Amino acid sequence: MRSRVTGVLAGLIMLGLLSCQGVRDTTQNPPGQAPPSGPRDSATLAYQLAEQTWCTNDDACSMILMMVEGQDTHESFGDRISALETKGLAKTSWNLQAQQACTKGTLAYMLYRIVDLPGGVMMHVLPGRRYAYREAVYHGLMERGSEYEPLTGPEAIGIMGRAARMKEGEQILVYR
Amino acid sequence: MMANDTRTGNAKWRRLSPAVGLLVVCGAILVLPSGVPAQDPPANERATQPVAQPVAQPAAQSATANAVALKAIITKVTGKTVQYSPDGGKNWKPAQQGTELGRGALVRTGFGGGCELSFGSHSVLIIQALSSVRVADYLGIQGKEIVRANLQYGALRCGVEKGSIQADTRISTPVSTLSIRGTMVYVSYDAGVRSCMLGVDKDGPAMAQVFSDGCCGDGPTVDWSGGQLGEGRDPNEILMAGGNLYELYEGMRTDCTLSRDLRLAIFDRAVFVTGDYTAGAVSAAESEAYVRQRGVVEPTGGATQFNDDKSVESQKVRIDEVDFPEGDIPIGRRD
Repeated sequence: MRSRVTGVLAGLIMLGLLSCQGVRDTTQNPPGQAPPSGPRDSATLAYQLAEQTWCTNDDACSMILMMVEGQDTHESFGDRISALETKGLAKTSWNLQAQQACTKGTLAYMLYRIVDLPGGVMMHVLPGRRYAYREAVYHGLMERGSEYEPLTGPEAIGIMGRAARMKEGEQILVYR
Repeated sequence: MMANDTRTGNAKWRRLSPAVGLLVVCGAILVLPSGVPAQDPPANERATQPVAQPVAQPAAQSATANAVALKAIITKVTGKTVQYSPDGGKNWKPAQQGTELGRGALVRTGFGGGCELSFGSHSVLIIQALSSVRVADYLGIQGKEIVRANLQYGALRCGVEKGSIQADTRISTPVSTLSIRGTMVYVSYDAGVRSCMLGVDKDGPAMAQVFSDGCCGDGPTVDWSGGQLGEGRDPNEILMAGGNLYELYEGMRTDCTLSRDLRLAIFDRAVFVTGDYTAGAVSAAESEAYVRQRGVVEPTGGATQFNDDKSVESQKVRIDEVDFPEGDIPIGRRD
């Protein structure tokens, strides 16, 4: 009898453990999708991001560097953030984590500088991620939402693709 | 004592067995719906499904039996970040001019990259930066060329030559399909928000179909992959079956947003009337409800703004105060 009860309990515990695996931290990528260590090009990274659930800060910084410099030669996330800060595209004071999902505000701030969006009054008075995101929405780069929203991989690719085309002089149509 | 324990244990299990049986039955009921799609739908449901065209299938099969698989050629590569995969994405190689691509091949580009893909000099795909395109099919059937390409993300332009050969070219995204004959079109797709932009740059028309009504991607989808089209089958007929079909001419563009929010306002001619037009006037409450329900932004600010000089609110003299010098107008009265 005891062995049966123990067996049932063990089964329930196993079920509980299995169901707990389904609840995953949305700010982390699945273990199988860790960023590769080798050098990546923008076509490869974009293709990976298109199939990835979340766009991490590391991926976003890498893509931004590729967009600006044509390639990402930096080996660590810290180097990437430092390089971006030198260019005025990011701030180390944001305390971004490499494997944390990139927020819309963070990407908007970086792209605002790269695409050279004509900012509004608030962006000139209080330049930050909040108003950069609003400018990005106004100019059709991003969808409406919150600057704190995490970006999915496909969303990040869509936004960066539009930014790249905008940078090349193509007019982005915005329906409001 | 031990035997007694065993007896009570068995009795407990016997008491539990109906509950276990009930759980098994519940589980079976929960699992059963997953098997339903494999079965044929009821006759009345089958009749309402617009996409399936079983009658035309034999014709399509016989036509594709005569089809010859052709190869697309990369005719121009811009930038360093252009890659292709001949095996559907397993292995990637740097793209070079003259590379031949068969069915299922993929081309992807990075920042500053671009690629021109030619289909027998009758159709050309110009893939823009940060895009991925799959060559779904490229067939030659009795003087007709069928080109099917899937834009996975990014943007492209496609040009189809008019005249000499009957080219049937379709560019599809997960939420739309653009059917092109002798025109230059633009297609972009954002996989993140599942929105597309379809447009005609030159000539036209092109037939655009946006899948689903309420929200992109949730509606009926059509598989445009090879073998669906055959000789003697009108592609417009298939497109019409899916609904949301627009005919785009030069300079026109459409996207999912247009389909979702403004289709009613533009294509079905929903007009807001402000003023004192008794027959068609919309009250403020009606206008607000309409805007809220349909998501259509009312351009004039609603019926509450009576700034029209013909408005009832703007009239200086009431209708019963109007004095006609010749007396009342003799409408319907004979003296």
